[in-house]
Amino acid sequence: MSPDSLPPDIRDTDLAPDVLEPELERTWRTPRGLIGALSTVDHKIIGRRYLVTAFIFLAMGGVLAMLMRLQLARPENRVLPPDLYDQVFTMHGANMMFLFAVPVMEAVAVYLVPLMVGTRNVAFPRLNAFSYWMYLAGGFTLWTAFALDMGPDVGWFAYVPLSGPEYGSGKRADIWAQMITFTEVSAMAVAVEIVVTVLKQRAPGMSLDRIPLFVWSMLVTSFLIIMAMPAIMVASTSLILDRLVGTHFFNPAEGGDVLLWQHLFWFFGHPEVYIVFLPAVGMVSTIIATFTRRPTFGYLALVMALIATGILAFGLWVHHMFATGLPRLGESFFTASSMSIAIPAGVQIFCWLATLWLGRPVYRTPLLFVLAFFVTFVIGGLTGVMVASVPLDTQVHDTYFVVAHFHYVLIGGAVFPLLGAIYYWYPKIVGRMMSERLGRWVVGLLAIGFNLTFFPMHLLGLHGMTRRVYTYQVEMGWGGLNLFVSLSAVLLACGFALFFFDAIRSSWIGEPAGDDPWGGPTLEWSTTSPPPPYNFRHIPIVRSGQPLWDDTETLTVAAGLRVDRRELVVSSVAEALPEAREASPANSIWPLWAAIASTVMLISSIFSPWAVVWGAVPIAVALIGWFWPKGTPEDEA
Amino acid sequence: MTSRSALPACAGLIAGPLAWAVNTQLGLILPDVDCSAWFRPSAPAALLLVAGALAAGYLSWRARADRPEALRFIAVVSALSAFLFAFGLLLQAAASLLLTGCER
Repeated sequence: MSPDSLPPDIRDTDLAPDVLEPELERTWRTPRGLIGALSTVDHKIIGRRYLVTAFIFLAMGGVLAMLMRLQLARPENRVLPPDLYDQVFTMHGANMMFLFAVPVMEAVAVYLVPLMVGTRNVAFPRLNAFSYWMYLAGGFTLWTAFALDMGPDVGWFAYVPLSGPEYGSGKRADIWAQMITFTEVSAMAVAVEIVVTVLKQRAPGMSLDRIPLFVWSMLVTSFLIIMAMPAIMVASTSLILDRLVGTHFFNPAEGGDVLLWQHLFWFFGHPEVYIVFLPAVGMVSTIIATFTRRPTFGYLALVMALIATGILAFGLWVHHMFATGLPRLGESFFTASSMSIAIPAGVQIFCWLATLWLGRPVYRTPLLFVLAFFVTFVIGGLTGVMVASVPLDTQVHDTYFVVAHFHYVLIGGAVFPLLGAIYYWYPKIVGRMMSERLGRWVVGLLAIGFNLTFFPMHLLGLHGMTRRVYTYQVEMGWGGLNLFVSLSAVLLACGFALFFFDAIRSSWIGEPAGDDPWGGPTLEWSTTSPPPPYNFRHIPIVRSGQPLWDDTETLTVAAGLRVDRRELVVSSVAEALPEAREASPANSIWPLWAAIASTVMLISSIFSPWAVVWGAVPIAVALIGWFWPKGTPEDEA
Repeated sequence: MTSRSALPACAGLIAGPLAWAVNTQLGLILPDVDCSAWFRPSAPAALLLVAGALAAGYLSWRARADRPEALRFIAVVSALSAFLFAFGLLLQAAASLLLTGCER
């Protein structure tokens, strides 16, 4: 039967493989050309865009970090004027947290979760496209403002009253607040997609106890995003209202409350740390299992630790507010919770160590990153327990001790595993291997450069150097350590530069990867590298937590899906029993239009509240266009 | 998975965090009462909630028998989570015993 003569409602069971694959390709592909690129809803293309964009923001944030280190290398330095320094440290923090850390983790999930659970696209693929455009617009807004000397200068947490109408003149704080809206809308859209994909689109047989640990980690992370991010959106919107409309949410003189800002911000801000860290837990678990050639020790305990950490993350926010004068008993409750979260973290570490102990580790670059992660994250965790204690925290609050602590947690705890994950999954995404030799240099430079850069900051903090100061006097005695830190930062920057070089170079001349270069156990390795637009020729059936390590020659598959339209399997939540065939939306340009309309409204609303009213009209038009039936096979029930 | 069979399995995962969340909130409300009234309710409230979390954990632990594999998995995860939150509550109870609520 030739593809041109296929009848409607044709199933994959009716076609030979040589006919099936071109036909699936025709149904799922992204058309060539600009319109095709702008209207694609393929999770792999959008995931790749997310990844590249996030890493560009990482590089830009890194340049800002180096500027700060240049300024602080000597006492009384005059490289950056104080006003610009304020913008630079704010941009660095906001960029790294909102434009890199969260989006890059979601990017990995957008690309990998559908592949790992054995489905053909993410749930709500058009929302996925919309989320990327919103993220891009938010980043563009922030950096354009910075280029125009309108960059926010109020710190990444924008405390009131500094960011309020009384002290925050101009539009700098508004830019920060609206950037929040862009990135949080984007993050929440992805979170909803991931939750639905994991709960309802898993391959038949992938019951809750067989879900890959990275997928579990992204499921928990997505719930965290959904529950934490509304708090910061409420806060930033209230801040804009205070600044633009004249409300008094944060004005004590009119019955508002300054501390309300801190409560709202940190109710989001602390889970944010785990939104960044928990995906790393999944990455580490995945890498260790593959490179020790055995299932992760304590799968159940690790899942428990993921869930418990995710929940406990919502009860720690006050430990960022120990210096605000809250009742000591209340603060102690948050100390108790902060200490408790060390237990699931410890469970994770011991499970990984046991896996390494019981397996036969192969020390390739991804695993080396994991080892670097162990050391740095444990140091960050120990200082975390220290600052969870009220007496110590009140001494080192707002000093470089805290700067050192959170960089140990975020870079050691999340960026190292992320880079390991990039080395691990790059072959699947690009189809080529990254260089093992350069990879080892990258690990070495980053691990040594990082520790030389940030460990001395503990000492600077204990010597009283406060955060955010743009310079210091010679008499303070901080000059030597600061110079050492700045020189070490060059080593760190070289590590990142080499990583980028390797990633770009390998995409051209890297060794072809093949389907499963590492011998990985999870479903993404069962398809080609890079995967075809439809991911899998047939939906796989799963019989264990490591389907590719089962003692079978070939993977059992489910059949009966339509080929003439985008269709996937919907399964039950707990046991992943197949329940229905479901259409998956086709490509559409409307998510882009909706994002453009939303962008115009959000940016205009910085200047006039009426923009919300008038801006709603084009958004409504775009949404009507988005949801209007197009007469495609995917519209059928 | 029917809701009837799922509920005991999930009890620890629901009640443990709920008890801890309630006590965390009480930690912001009750210090004033602890400081001003003759009776200090923080500690007994925390201990009561510890008992609740442990009971829910036990319920989940028992629910693991005669269930499908996926539900058994959830029951054990649920029980372990409840015990972890009970530990967090115990630490909070210890704070309630050590502090009077008047400290600022």
